[in-house]
Amino acid sequence: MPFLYKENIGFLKRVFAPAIFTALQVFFVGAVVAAPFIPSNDEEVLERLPFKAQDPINQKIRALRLEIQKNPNDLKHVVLLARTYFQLAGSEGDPRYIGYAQSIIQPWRSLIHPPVDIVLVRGLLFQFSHDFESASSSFKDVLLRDPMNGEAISWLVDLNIVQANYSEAQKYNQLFLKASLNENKFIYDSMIAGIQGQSKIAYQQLFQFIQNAPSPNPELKEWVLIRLAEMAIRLNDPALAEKNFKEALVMDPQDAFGIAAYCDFLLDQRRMHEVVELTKNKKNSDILLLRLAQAAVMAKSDEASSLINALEDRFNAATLRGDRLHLMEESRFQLKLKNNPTKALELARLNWEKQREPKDARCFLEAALAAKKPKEAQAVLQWMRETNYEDPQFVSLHQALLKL
Amino acid sequence: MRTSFSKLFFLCSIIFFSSEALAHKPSDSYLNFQVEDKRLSGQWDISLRDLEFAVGLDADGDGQITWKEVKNKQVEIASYAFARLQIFSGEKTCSIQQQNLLIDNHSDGAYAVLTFISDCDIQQDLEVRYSLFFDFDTQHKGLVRVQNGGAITSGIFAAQENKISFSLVHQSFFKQFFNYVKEGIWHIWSGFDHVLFLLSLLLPAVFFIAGNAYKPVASFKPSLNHTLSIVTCFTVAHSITLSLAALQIVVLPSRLVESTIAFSVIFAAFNNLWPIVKSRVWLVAFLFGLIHGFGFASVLMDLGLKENNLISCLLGFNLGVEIGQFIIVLFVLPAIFFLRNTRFYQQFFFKLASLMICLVAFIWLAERALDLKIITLR
Repeated sequence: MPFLYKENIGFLKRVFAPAIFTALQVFFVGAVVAAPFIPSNDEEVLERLPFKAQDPINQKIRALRLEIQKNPNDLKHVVLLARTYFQLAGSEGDPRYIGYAQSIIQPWRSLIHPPVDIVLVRGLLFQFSHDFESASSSFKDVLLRDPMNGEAISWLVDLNIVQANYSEAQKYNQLFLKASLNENKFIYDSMIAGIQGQSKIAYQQLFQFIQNAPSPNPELKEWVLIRLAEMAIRLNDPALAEKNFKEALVMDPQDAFGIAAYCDFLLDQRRMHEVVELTKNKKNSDILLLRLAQAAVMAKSDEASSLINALEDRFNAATLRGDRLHLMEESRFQLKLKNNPTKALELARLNWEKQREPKDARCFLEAALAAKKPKEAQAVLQWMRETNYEDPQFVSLHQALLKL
Repeated sequence: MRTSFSKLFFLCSIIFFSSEALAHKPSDSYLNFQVEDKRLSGQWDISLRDLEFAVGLDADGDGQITWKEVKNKQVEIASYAFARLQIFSGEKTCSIQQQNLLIDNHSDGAYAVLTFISDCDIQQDLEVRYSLFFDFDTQHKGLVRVQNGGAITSGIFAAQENKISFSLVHQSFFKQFFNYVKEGIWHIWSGFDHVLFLLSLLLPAVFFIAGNAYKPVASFKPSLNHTLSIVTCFTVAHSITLSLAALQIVVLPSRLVESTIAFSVIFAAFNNLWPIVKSRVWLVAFLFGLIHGFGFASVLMDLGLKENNLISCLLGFNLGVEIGQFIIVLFVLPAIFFLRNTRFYQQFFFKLASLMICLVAFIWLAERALDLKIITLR
């Protein structure tokens, strides 16, 4: 721009100079990539492993690997190791263990008739990678050969609830009776009833159950308490919800899912400082980092932008390898933190094709509302009608959509 | 059955839900090749977590990997990794020589960075075979990028997909840059809305306003100044928003952008018929220029932007737009200056052209805002 109209130069300087500076800054900062380095100190810790070499879990894995090396046809040890890895994937939140488990059962999977135990493990691994269809068919295979297999029944009920196929879930839930697992049926019944407009009765039943259970497994109790808290939210009783959340997190303070649910509850009440306290040391977990960033934005904290960048890096890294596992989280990220409702809605729609839990529904409604596209949310509104879903927050979202 | 029940129930649902609480992504390595003057060099980022599993880094078993522990295993790391990477150029197997061991932090932890060079004289194609970690982690992926001059190709290695061929038809930075310049010029010419907006602002450049009437200017200088102020403001404004949008810092819905562009054309043309903005036309050019920038950006995004060539694409495209604009001015301004004193221009062409532009833009606005299809000009 070699020529500037004389009279305007003063104005141009005042207005454009900062704008151009910002544009240039954006240009170059955006293009800078972090460079590899040589650590300055030999003792610098570069990475922390989940376990020490002599931790019991590592010893167990080493022993199992040794057994399998000695005798590759030892099905029992193969299944045991694969399941150990599967549990680690859940408790450590690290999908690497899923890959390890898959490799361990690989030689058995290619058999024409793999053993039932292998098919079951295969289903677990498919499920972890959100390949629900393959997981379902694996569990159905198991039931064909072992109709009383409670674990396969559980998974089929779970998968169908997550995909909002409640009648199908009920169908599998009946199978628990044959397998003499009546309590399982009872819990799932309450859970389904809670989603289908009967939170009050479901709450009472489930509450009674957990009170009367002689000595329930603490993880199970924590899980049920979180479900109770969610039902209390639907019943518009925040005090009761809070009590259940708090009790649950005393039982298992490390449960990322429980913390995330509690954080969402707090965020709804704009209690962002409590969310920061709960999550500031748990940035490893993607879902908790998301809540922390939301709270930081709400609190107008200086840290907000660096948290948003960290989250974006993680989503980008996952996209680069072709993974799309956290569509709901990504949608929420785009909506609440990147202010991009169009993209958020697209992600919420993709997510709804796979997962249809209440939190997926809410994410979809919020994105449709922000994008001002009420028609797009028809599928969720239909789900709300069919289930008689009763959360007051959903009702107000629905009304806001109708007003558009 | 109570004990088995609670164990059973715990197994399913707890883990089901915790699968969404992933702290990490699955294992990936990042393999980058650079081809320059037919010489191949590269950088391979491999997660320390994975190397710990494969080679064993944590010598003292304290659950922490220090720089010293990594350095001590440098030879094992390199020989393990490079035994699982083969590069072919034509029929020839290329040798790989490791150069440095560095560290980098990715979104999911620390990575060892191996830099290497190859002796190969790279011809038309490059074939890469990759088998790192597939033997113990079926989910592992190798994300590979080949940077060849200005062009980048990428691929993903997976357990079932361990061989990728890259074609290296040479495309230099400048060639790519000029491609985008060409696209920019072409876009301003073929995008009627930008041309009509500019034209609407240019048409009165040969007049000055006396009271409510247009009078032809006596000399060329005020016309030139007027034009320069408009074009400069339009350029600065759309350059800012084009950059912001192309870098995805600001994203606007395309319907809003397209509708506002149509409105800007109506406004500019209407202003010629019934002047509302009389003195600061450059401000109109600037404000609407901001929204035209978003329009340019959507075209640029459709052409495809890659991170490495972002700057060459953006600069090239923008330069192209300016050149296209300049050529329009170059032809229009002298012509209308020549005609400024004629009744034909003052009473007929100036008004009819503005009216026609107004009309066309009005149809665009209706189409874009209401999502209709009335004319198929664009």
